[in-house]
Amino acid sequence: MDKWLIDQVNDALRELITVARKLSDDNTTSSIQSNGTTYATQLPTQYAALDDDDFGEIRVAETDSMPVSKEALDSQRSTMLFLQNVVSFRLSGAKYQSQSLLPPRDANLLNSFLSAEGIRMIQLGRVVCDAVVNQQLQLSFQAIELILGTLEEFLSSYAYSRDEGLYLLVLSFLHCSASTWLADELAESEICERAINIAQHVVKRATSGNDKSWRVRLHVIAFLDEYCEYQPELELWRAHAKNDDVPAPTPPDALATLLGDQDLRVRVRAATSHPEVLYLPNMATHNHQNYYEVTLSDLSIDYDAFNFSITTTLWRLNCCIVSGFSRNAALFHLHEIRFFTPIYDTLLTRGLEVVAARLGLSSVQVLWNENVQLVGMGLLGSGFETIELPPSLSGFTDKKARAEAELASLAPALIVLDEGGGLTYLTKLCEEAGTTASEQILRHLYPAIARLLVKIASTGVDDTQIRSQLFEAISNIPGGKGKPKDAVTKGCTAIAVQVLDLVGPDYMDEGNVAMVSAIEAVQKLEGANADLLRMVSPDLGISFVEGYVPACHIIRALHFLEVKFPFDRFAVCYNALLHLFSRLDIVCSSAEQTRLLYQVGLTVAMYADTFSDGRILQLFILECVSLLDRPDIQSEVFSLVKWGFSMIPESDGGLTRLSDIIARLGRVRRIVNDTMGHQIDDWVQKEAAKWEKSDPIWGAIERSAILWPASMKDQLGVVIDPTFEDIADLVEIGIPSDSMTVCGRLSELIGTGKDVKENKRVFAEQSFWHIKNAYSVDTWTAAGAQAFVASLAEVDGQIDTPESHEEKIIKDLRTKLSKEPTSLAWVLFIRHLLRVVDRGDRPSRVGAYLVLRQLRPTMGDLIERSILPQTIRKEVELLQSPYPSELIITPVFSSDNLRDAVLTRVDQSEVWLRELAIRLCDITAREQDFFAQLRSFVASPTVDLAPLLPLLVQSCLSFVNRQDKKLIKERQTAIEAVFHASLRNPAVSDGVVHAILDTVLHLRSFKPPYRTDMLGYNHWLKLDFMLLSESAIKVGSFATALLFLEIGKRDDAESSDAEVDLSDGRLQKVSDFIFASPQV
Amino acid sequence: MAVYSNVNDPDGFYGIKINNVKESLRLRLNHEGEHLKAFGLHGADLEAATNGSGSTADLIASARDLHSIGIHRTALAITQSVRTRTDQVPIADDLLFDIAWRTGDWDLPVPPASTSAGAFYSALRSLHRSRDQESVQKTVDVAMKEEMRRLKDLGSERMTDIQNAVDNLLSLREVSLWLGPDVQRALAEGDYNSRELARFSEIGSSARSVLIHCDVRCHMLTGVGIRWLSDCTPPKCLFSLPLNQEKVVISSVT
Repeated sequence: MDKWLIDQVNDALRELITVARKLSDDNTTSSIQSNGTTYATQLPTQYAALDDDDFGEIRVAETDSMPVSKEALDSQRSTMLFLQNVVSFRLSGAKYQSQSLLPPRDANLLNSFLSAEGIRMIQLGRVVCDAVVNQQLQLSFQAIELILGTLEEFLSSYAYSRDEGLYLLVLSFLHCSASTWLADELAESEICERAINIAQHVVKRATSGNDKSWRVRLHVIAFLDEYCEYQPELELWRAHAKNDDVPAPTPPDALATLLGDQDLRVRVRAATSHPEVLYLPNMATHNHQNYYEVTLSDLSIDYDAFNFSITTTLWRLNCCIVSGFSRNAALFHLHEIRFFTPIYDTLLTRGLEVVAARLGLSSVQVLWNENVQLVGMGLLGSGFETIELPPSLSGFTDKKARAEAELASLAPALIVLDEGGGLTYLTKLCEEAGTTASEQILRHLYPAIARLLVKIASTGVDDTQIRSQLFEAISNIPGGKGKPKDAVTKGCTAIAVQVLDLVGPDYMDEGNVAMVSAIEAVQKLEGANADLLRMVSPDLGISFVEGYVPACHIIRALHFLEVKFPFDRFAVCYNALLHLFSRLDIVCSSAEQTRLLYQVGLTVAMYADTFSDGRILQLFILECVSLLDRPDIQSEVFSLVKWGFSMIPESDGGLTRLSDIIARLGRVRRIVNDTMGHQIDDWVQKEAAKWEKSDPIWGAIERSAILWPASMKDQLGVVIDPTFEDIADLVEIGIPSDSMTVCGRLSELIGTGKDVKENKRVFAEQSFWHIKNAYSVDTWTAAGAQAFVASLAEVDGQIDTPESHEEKIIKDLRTKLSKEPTSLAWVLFIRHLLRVVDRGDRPSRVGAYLVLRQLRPTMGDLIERSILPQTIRKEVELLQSPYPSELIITPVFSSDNLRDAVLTRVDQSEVWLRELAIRLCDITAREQDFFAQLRSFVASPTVDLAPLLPLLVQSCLSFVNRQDKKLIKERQTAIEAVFHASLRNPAVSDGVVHAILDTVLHLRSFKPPYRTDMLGYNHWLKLDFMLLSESAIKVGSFATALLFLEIGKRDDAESSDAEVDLSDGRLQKVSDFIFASPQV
Repeated sequence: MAVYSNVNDPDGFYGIKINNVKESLRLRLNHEGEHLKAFGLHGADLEAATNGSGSTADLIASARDLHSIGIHRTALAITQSVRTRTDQVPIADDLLFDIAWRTGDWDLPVPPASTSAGAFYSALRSLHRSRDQESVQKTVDVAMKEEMRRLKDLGSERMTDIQNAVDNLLSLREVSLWLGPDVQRALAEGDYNSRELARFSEIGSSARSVLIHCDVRCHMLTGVGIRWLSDCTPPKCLFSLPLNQEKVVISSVT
């Protein structure tokens, strides 16, 4: 709108604009033509306040140090505000008067600024700069040139050489005009050089201690921040540097200098700005740590000087956030502070919390666990023991928990630590964690042997020497049971897996020498494929970890192991993939992810021939597809996925979960970025014809490709036409995120096909229940819901009770293993764990795999006698335990601990379940070692323990000598007491009630070893069935309530030979609910 | 309609020995669907009350009985009279919303979407009041989402509750279908014999869902004829004599 529609308003505003012009143009000398296109070269020459000799007013240190009076400050502030308003009004008026509505080039205003003098010049200059920043005024090239000239002149004059206002104006002008003089086309121009020279002059003065104004130094930092954003390569800064004796520092150096400024305000800003120089392209990632340390060495560290140390701490915290490559060193120094003084504890704890949050980690504990290997070992190397640190600093509530976490990460390195201090510290950690050093040494024996082997193999000695040196080193490990040869022979698979975990950063060598030698080494191996190693070669730096070595040494160590202690290549590959993918699942740092992926690449390259086994290939593809959503590694992972798919036709056909893989691929396609998404689409288009010729792949695509997004599906070139049965199967194997997509096809197909009636039956008995259970508010879609309800309409809303395959399978197993309750318990455990592996979240899956591997020695008999179902047998055959068979974990809890107060926390079902499960594991572990190893799995906060509790109770009562009636009674009484107390507690949550009810129902499906009579299945525990019935009513399990009511009354009748009293108040109340629940 | 059996054993009820005769009679009448007699019992309680107005529970029970036998407006008046009594607010609200949409009372305060009755009332009120089809569909979607959330939380043994949730979803679907472009086009063109509109008067195979659906359908159709005249639907939509007749039939069935 170029003018006001009401003439009077328009006229009034014009008048005001004229007044504003008059007020701001108080100089009659105009050197810039009013049309704003041509400029005179005449510069302001008169300075009324200055003497003719250009010396300006006489200023001495005494007058300079005198504070400005309050009145003078108020006057300056008022003048400034008034001037700002006037100029703003004037420029806005000019803008709205023009047709283009662009900010004007107000030549008169600029002339006023150029011809002003003293404080007036400074004020007007700041207002002009603000107007440019606020997009109210445009600066032409010529205007910038003229202003630069004026500023140069002022800077060189004695009168202004110490003027804070002038320097602030200079920085303000450089800031508002940077986009012009730093433009690419002006890179070689004089104006650019002049501006940079001015900037360098100001920066040099600020960093050399000559500038007494903290405001100027603060603005210098702000300007340098901006400069680094405009010109991250810094080549213009270097190109236009003057050849002075003392050259101006580069922006990173200047920021580093200002980190040690005397003024706290300046240091705080520098502590925030300086770490960002690590983002500059010239700062190679593998140099970050070095740069951090060099900067740190220039800072004086005096922890008694709190004022200085807090800014150094802030800088270190920022270094943790900015770069993963300086993080370990920064974390080391942050934790080191505590060994000198505790006064920074609060600051450090809060700071580390913020760091963890900024890195996207759930807690400081995760940050600690990710870095403990470097930080902990580093501190130990410097003579500091992390055990002395307050646990809150590492995000733990107590030292015991932290010691347990540290043992898991540090134990292998401590066992083989040269200096010998490692074992002493290991013992201390064990004491703190409530375990024994001998147990920990056995637990970490194979990783420790792997470290020793790699260390010896990397010295270049021959096989005989490796063997002798290795055996000697193993024999030096205290507490190691048996001969070294036996230890290596029995654990060669686990050792090989651990050796692969030690692959270090090959990129570190100049010219990738290590990488080339690794590829050459792989090429020489039989059954290997060196190309696969190239696919995952890291192009990013990886933080160096003590004990990790280049791939060529790893290959050497593995070769030695395979020749001297022949192992099953298939088992090594399978277990190594499990181990590495498990680590990848939980690791957050991108550098560590890259390193782990390189380890996966090396494993695949070395054991490429084993991928003909469908189980290995399936595991590999499933895990790789799940990793495609990680932006940092997705391009390398995608290469591996493509290779994996190309191997499917060559595999032995054991890929039972191809439909799941295809479904996952579609799921990943929805969440990856556009670039990766298009790559996936292109790949599908390219491979579609090949896949069509492969029965397993195409069969899976026909079943699952309906879950793909349309853009991906279109690439197949054919219309996928699954049947209702295919979709119903998908619903069964699906996960929540797909349920709404599947609903659409389900409703379309339910009324089609040969047997519509059967379709409807399947929906009412199976699909409905799967969709109901998979429903999630997050994945809900209106279209999916409409489709679901449309399917319900097809069956006239008639839903049948769910058909349970699970019950059928358990019934078969029960019949088959009726005389072997312990074998039955094992089989049920294995089935449950495999289900977690299939459908659980990542941490639960990792835990379940680890337990399955530990359980492997126990499975020998079950596999040999074909007790395990064929499908399960195939899945577990390749598993290998990561621990020596001699490892015996001492249980912590006994039956008495079932009275612990923590089990009264029935309002929190997760806590109650976890604490009870841990205790049951420990109690059962007294007869069966495996349960002590299961402890870590059930202690994990992510594992859903509700389905596991029935198995644990069953095991606790089954793995016991049936003749030991006292022990049986003791356990029964303890569990009964927990159940009764929990159900009677008025605060009991539905989750706890469900868990107890499900446990009792589960037990009824089996006979206890100590009761072989017909109705023995009712006597696992002696429970108050009326109480159970009342609890079942609370959670709406009416059929269960009726069942318990009947059992309870029958038991009463049996025990007392009396008639059942139907007028019992409790009985009546429960019966009312069951038969006459007032539901409308 | 009250659904009494959670365990597919309705005769099991008669095996319960209840000492309190009055309570026993009340439960039996409810169990057998004798709502008129139950109203007699609750009415007698109210008449015999010493405080003059009777207990809130008796009033709500009476209203529920009346609602069950199709005397909705009287039930609504009773429920509204006890709604402010704090101890029974959630129960009274559910009953109130349940009756309100049947009696065409759209002036109740905005109900919470967290209850089935509230969400369904919101959806129907939006259908009757709003000129913006999109906002109506949004309200229906919210109601559907909430109902599915409730459905997920129900254990497999709560068949009665699950069936109720399924019925609610099916009812919401009827509203969605009504909002569909084909039906709206037929309404706009005055094509009252079209297939799209005819399906709203069809009776399906399942007696239970028919009763639920038809109640909803009749309300939408009578809404066209009666309520919408004063709101936003053009007068040419005044049709549906046969549909109104059907409502009479269905009401008597209910």
